[in-house]
Order: sequence, then C-alpha cells, then structure tokens
Amino acid sequence: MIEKIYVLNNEEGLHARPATMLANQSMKFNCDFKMLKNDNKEKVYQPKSILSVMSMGAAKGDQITIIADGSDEEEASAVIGSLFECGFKE
Amino acid sequence: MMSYFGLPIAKGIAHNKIFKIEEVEITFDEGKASDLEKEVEIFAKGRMDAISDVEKIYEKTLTTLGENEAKIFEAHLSLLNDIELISQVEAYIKDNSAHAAYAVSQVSKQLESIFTSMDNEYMRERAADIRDITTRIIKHIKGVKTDNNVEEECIVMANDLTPSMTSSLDKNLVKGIITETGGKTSHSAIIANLLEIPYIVLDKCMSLIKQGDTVVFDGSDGSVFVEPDEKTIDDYKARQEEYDLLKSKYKELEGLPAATKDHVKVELMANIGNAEDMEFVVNSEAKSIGLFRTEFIFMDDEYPDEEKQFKIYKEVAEQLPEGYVTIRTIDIGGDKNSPHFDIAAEDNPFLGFRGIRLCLGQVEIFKTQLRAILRAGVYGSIKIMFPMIATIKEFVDAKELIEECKKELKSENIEFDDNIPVGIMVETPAAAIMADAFAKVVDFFSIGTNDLVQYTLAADRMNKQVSYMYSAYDPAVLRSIGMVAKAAKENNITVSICGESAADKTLLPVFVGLGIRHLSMSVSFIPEVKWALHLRTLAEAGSISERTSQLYVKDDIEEYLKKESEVLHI
Repeated sequence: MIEKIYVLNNEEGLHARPATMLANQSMKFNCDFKMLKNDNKEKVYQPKSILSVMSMGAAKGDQITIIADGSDEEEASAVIGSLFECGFKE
Repeated sequence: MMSYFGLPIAKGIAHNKIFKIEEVEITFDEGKASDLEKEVEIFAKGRMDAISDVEKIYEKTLTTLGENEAKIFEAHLSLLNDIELISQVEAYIKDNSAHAAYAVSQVSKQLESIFTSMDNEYMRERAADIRDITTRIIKHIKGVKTDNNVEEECIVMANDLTPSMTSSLDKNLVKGIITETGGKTSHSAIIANLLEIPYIVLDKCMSLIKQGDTVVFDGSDGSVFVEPDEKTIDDYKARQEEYDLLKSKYKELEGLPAATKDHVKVELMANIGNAEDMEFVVNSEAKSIGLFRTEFIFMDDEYPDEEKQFKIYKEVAEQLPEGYVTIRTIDIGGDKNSPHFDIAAEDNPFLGFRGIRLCLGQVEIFKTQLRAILRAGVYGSIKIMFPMIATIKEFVDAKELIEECKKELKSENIEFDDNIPVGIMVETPAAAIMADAFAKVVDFFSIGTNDLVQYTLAADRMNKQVSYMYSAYDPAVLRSIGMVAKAAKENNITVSICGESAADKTLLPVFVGLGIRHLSMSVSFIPEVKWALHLRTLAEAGSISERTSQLYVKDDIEEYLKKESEVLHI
C-alpha cells in the first residue's frame, strides 16, 4: 500500500477536465484506490469515478491523499502523482 | 380557432400537425424485491441499452452537427460507465432489497442533490446530465419508449428540449418547434437557428395545444394559431411567400458590397461570443468582426490561461483573411458573472465594479488576456477594445498595461504584434460627452447602444416598469451617437455601432446620415440590413436624419421613422 499527499495547485481545482484526466488514468490500473480530502477519513472518494472525483468539490489549495493498494500500486502511484505535480496540464 | 403570442426564437413560418413529446410519469415499485441478483442483472441490462442509445446519438450528432455538439454525449457515456454510479446502485439494491428502477432513481436523486448544492454553475449543470442518463436507464428497465422518433412531417412540441432531443431531430420532418421554456441563447435555440427550423417558446403550450392539433405559427413575431381557419392559413401562406420573396431579393445583392443606392459603402460586420460562432461568419458576407465578446470564455469553470486564450484569438483572426477582429476585453460584472473574479454582491451592479473597472482592479487576469491578444496579432489583424470606459484616465491606465505586456513579451523573446489599434466602447454618457477628447487618444470608437441607452436615460433595461423609457429612438441617445460620430470624423478615426440597434433597419438612415459607416450585428441580420441600406441614397438618409434631429419626443421619432420605412416596404 502506498499513500501520498498532494496539495492541489491548479486554478480550476478538480473540476471537469482534471477530473476526467484523473479518472481515465486511474482506470488503467488494477489496484484499489482511495482518496481523501484534507485528511477527512469520514469521507472516502474513488479516483476511478468521475462522479466521485467531481463530487469532492476540491479547490486549489486543498490537500488530497491518494492511497493505492494492489499489484501495480507503485506504477499507479507514480502516474497519478505526476498528474498532481504538473497541475493537470496536458 | 385559438390564437396566442409566444417568444420568437428562430425565423420562419411553420404549418403542420403537432407532435407532442410528453414526459411519461414513471411509477416505481417501492416494495421489497425477492431476487436481488436478478435486480442487479436488470440494472446491468438497462444500463447497456442506455449506452447503446447514447452511442447512436453521439454518432448521429457527430455527422449532422459536428464534434463540438457531440461532446456532451461523450460525457454522458462516461457517466453511464462510471464505477461509482454502478456500485452505488448495486449497493442500494442489496442493502434495501430494492427493485432496480427504484434503486436507480434513488441513487440519481442523491447524486443530483450533491451537484445542485455546489457553488458553481458548471457543476450544477452536471445534475441535469445525471438526470438525463439515469432517466434513460429507468425507461429501459420499465420498457418505456426512450426517444420520440418523428416519423412524419410535424411541429414538435415539448416542455423543453434536452440536448439529446434537439440533436436527434430530423430536419426533413421537423417543420417547427414549440417549447414551454427556453430562451434565445439556450442550446436548442442555437441548433434551431443553425438548422433553420422555425421555433417559438409559448408559455403553457403543453396544456393549450393537444396532440395532433393543426398549428400555424410565425417564428419572427411569435404569433400562433391553433386549428386555423382558411383565411388564417392563406394569410400565413402569403407571409411565407413574402419571406421567400425577401430571401430571394436579399440573394440578388449577394457578392455586391454593402452600400447606399449611390454606392457609398457601409461595412456590415459580425458580432460573436466565441470561436465556434465563426462557423456562421465564414458562411456570411461579413469580412470582419466588429465585436468579439470575450467574457463568455471566462464563464466556463475552467480558467482560460494565456495559451488557451491565445489559441482562441488566433483561430478567429486566421479565419478573417480580408478583415479584422475587434476583441472587446473582459466585460464581467453587471449581469454577467464569472467564477474567476471576486465580485461581491452589489446594490447597483450596473453602476458598480464591472468592465474596465474590474479589469484595472484585477490586473493579473487582465494582463493575461492582453498578452494572449498581442501574441495572436501575429497571425491576423486584431484590434483591442476596452468596455465601459468613462474617463480618459481609465483608457490611459489600460493602455499602459498593454505597453507593460509588450515589454514583458519582448524580454521573454515571444513574438507579438506591436501595432495593434486600441479603441473604446462608447457606452457611458461620460464617454459620449467627452468624445472629442477621447478621439484624440483612441484609435477608434464603437458605440454600444444597449448600455448607452440604459445609462443615458437612467432606465434599467431589465426593469419592466421603466422599459417604456428604454429606447434607442430617444432623442438624447440619437444626439449622443451624433456627437460621437462628429468627434470621430473631425479626428479622422473610425466609428461603428455594435449594439442591438445596429441591425434596426428603421434607424438605419439616421445612423448613415450621422456619418456611421460601420455596423456590427448578429450575422443573421446582415442580408436584410444590406437590402434596406441599398434602397436610399446618402442624401435621402441625410435628410431623414436631419428631420429626426428636429423631433424631441421619442414616440414622434419612432412614428416618423416607421412611416419612412413603410414607404419603401422595409
């Protein structure tokens, strides 16, 4: 299991295009994902789902925890991490 | 025979039987289901059927309307495949021993409420998408007809048309559209205009008109007759012939320059709100854009960064090889809002922090736009226009920012156009009064009549109680326009009109007489304005303008000008 924390730094937050990118990338992996907003463990989100990602309402400056668990967790964590690091640029 | 008046949306006469698209009330079995595995399977089957529907609609839209209009169905497909949606419905079935259709409706409600409560226009609209796809699944589960396939010529009537309904209309069969709700800028209005299907919005039409009724309506004035008598049918047939005749008259002028009877040229330009509108412009006779309203780019949730804006402006400029595009910088505030600006609620938004005031207050966003425009100028001919200017200082400050952007671009070694003309919208009385001073520092004027009328007469254009005052025929407004035109002429700069009245054929001789030689309007008005223009000489327009300037009562002016129009059957 790999857990990483990112601070959302793109202007538009996790809406529309970034949400689609995150969901499309996550779906390529077999491992299970969990996603938390500002370390709130009460509410767990699913990066593989556009609906779930968009319903987070994450804005610039929010802290996002991504937990990957499964056979391809290392690669998955790296790929998802790079999305956050480059601010969801294409 | 009954007659009504609706809101005209797309021009043309329609005479046909009504095909009513009614939303079927679906009842759910809220009781316990016995075989939960079976319910999960029923859900899976309904979802698959919905996917195959949407795939077909997507393909059809792609061929008939193009990639842009088809995008929404791509989004619907990804929602139908969303694992969260699937797992929530399955969990609901299992946890509550629920029937499949009921489970879908409950999960849909929960999801919709999350989105509708969001503090963001874009996300709120996604609730409608969720409802669109879950309704489709439910209809399949319940065996209710999902798409209303029109099989013979008709007028389609519905509460409202969803994007999937409008896009799947067959132009050869649908001779007209009537809906209860909607407006000129709604998605279905744009498509109806694109497909040239007459369209009106009529309040309570679903209860006023029955399935199979014969209806005749005019999409230009909104008049509707249900079960019309012979005489009415003949009247509307005559109207149809008149429209066809006018259309062919307009056609005669195609390819000729827009000019008065004695060949004085008046340039007719187009107004646009986004790059997609260029589709209409390239098919029209407009060579230039007199007004590109850029604020729509900023109403999307996604922030349009410099690269994105650069691409949009470049794309527009490149499509105007013989002309230019006048880019009006962000005019947010007033009745237009954007998620990217901090605008507090105001008592008087139209007199508040809007247009250039907002831009000079939030310089970073403004500079991003200016940089994008300067860079796009390399690829075509562009002019920059500032909105809502009231003082010379505002213009000087804004222009200073352009110079700053140029310096930055130069030091970053990025290509840009160093000679972009910079002008102002004249829409405040202050700018009109000071026109002679402004004319010495700006490169051009464009008169925005919509706001100039409301500010000159101090009459809110949204307020029905004072709407009788709001008129471009008011002598104070016409005199302001005259002052601006005179200042422009004396200082040898161009002046155009870009508000709604630019397309008003009745006011046309006054504008021409006052010396206006550039008018910018919605492309659909260009053929008729061009035709009206060629019916009079410059001297004739001048004398009408002169006579108008001697009238001091708005109603007298309007009456006089209408008479002048009637003489020429304009």
